[in-house]
Amino acid sequence: MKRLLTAFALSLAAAGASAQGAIKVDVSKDAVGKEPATFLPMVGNWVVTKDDGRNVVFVDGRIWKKGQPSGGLADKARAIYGAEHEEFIDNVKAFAYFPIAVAKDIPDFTNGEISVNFKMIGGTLDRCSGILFNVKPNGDYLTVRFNGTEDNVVLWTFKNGKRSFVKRGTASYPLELGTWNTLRMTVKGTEFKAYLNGVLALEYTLDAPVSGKVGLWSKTDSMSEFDAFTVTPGGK
Amino acid sequence: MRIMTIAARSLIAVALVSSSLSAQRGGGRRAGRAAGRAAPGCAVDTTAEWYKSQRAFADDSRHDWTDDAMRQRLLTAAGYKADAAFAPELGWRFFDANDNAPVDSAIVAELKAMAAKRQWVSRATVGVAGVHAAWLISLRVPSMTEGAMHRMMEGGPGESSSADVAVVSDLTRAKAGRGQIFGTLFERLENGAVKLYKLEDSAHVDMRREASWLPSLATSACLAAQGARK
Repeated sequence: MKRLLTAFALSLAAAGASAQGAIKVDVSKDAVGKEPATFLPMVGNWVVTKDDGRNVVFVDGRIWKKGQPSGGLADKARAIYGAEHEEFIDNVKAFAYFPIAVAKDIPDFTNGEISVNFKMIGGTLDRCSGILFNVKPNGDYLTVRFNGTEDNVVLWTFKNGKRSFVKRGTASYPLELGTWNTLRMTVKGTEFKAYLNGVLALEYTLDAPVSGKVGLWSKTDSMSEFDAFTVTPGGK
Repeated sequence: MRIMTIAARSLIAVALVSSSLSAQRGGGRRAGRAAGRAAPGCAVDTTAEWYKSQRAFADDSRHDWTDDAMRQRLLTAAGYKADAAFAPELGWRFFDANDNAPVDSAIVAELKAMAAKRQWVSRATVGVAGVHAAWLISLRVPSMTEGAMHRMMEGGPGESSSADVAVVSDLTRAKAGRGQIFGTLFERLENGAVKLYKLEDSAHVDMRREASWLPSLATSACLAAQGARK
């Protein structure tokens, strides 16, 4: 147990835990042009790139091909889910349409806040940027995302490889490409809220409390940059 | 690298597919003729990925569509000749060019009904030319342009040409007063010059164009300038 706690503490340190308890996933030391070391790309093509002199994570939907998870999926799934990784692979392959990258050093998120800055770069079919959370060992997860082809914020659930709509924010946000925006979500028990650039975009009562890994989410041919992914645990 | 100038390409294209060119560009038939007198530098690289991607997608040679009657109706309504020589989408049109050619109201109603049910014509049913004809029709009928765009997006990369989706995306955004993102729309100025319609995130426009099987913005701008002189 002591060893586990030590490992967790080390993980938080690597992830950039602040005195206030916020954990910012720091990609500043990740190699530019390579897959991020801090996020594990499970599906899709994710690389670290430079934007205005700083490292950011870029999901590149240009090389997306339907049904092709990113390379080394089995190894990556094994790295985070051990013996349960086969089920994860089976399910994520079913929806390889949706690139995901899991934050390696955030072992579990239950309550609190997650925020990320995103910049839409392009995409012919989709221009999506999202927060991945409640990622289970079987590959099920929740995501809240902004879609620049629909100009909205939507909460989706993925179960057994099938995507299901949960809740759509009612407002339309015509964000410009090439600009930074902030998507933030809060979870308190089953109470879920999502904010876009500080404005409440949707709220929903979840079926059950969340518990699982977190990360970045995208869709099909979207090209998006992500920066300042920050998790602020809110306690049990 | 084999470069075929737009002049050479268009002389062939105008001779063989003037109707399809006119339907594809906001400049209408004039755009096709304009392209036939290319200025030096307006070159279309037929070995470029964007060109090869468009060409490969346009291949209907398998004749494996299932609804030929619907395909023929779409082609007729759009005035599109499926057997004409390949004419690539060159990624430019004038924002103020209105192609108001009347379209068969029955086919418009049919397409609108499909879009309302979140359906659209597919390659499997009407072939690539049929899908392209539906796109041409949607450009001529403002009330169905945006709906068609969303259905094409939902259809995925195998159902519609990425270039067609990019063009309709820009048009839809511009009509809503927003900036375009693929740089396919130009404005004609009184002095005969052309100006790119307002563009979001110009830094990545060629990245988006390449991903959407379009030539560089510089090439399209050259062609647009050429078109404006006609």
